[in-house]
Amino acid sequence: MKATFWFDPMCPWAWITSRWILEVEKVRDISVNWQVMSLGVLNEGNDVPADYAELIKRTWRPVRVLHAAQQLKGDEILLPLYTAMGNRFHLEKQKDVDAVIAAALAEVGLDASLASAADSTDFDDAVRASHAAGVALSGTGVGTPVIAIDDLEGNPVGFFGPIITPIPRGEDAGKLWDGFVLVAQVPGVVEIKRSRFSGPVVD
Amino acid sequence: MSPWTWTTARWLEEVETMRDIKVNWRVMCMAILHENDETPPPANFQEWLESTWLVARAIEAARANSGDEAARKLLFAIGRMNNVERNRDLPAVIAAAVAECELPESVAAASTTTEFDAVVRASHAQAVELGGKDVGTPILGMPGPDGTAVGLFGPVVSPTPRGDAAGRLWDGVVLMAQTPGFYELKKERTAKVWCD
Repeated sequence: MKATFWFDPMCPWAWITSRWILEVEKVRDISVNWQVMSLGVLNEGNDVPADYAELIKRTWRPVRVLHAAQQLKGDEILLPLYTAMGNRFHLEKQKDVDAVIAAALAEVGLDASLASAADSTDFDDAVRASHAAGVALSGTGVGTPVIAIDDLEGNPVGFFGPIITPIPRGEDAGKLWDGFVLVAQVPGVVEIKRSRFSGPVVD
Repeated sequence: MSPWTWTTARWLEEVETMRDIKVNWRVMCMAILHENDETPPPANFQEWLESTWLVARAIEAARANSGDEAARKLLFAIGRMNNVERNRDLPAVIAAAVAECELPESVAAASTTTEFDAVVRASHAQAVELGGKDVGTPILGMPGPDGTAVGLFGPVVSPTPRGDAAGRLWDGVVLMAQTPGFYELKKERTAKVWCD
């Protein structure tokens, strides 16, 4: 089964879900196409606290670089570059966004000059288009990540989530995938939720 | 009283006929859910919220009088009249539903007393204990990972899945409930709720 996964690299919950779906790839026959979405776009027009607004502004930088890399190398570069960024943001808790971008580009063997995309608005329309393709399925007013699969008629269906912590591994990961597919393919399902009793556990 | 609860309840009834499950139907109360809202609800919504007490009390009165099965029957009779037949005269709905379920008139009368409020609150609290405070109704309490109990808000779904789709949704919800730390799967509600 094919799945499309839209992510913003700085969201810790999207990170957990992304590491889960990589576990699923080991135990189920799925292939994931990775695409960017943007916390910046998600929060446009929202009345958010000043320090969060500052963080949101910074999220544009890695997203632009990811998109520039995608333009150059194709969709296949997105997962390794996301992983290289995410390890630094979420596991190493690095706060210096530009240092993370530089180190991640080097790790995956991309030219350091791609980092300049962070300061450019040239790709913003394309980032918005990629984002829009995801939220066209999940609806606006939810969050990142969005995962899409085909329903039983072959039409794409997309959801925000699953939001989980900690990362399910092995067969637990596979069972959650099975549940996701069963639920997502039933017409009319919009929400399953419980209160978050824990913050994100990212490793 | 909640149309989105009605569609989920109808789905669960369908699942009972096709999977080996037994549902224990318990009340929550929308009025209690909104008691501690940071911004008080608009006056007309507040009035409606207060009316949700009447139903919850009547169902607990039915349970006290005649047991869980009577409570289930009354719940579905009131739900049908309210959500499907769209009868908005709540005292009349309760009286008619009580009569339909062949329960004593005292069950309807209890809806305007505070006699069962503590029972309603305890039942509601049990659901919130499992599903959390910042969600809504319905909450589905079910076996979680390693013999624990978890509560999930939803599945919010419209129209009500029937037949094979109902069974698949159940199987999926069980798998999610049994995943440690599963919190949320959501999309925006773009369609109006359809009750039948």
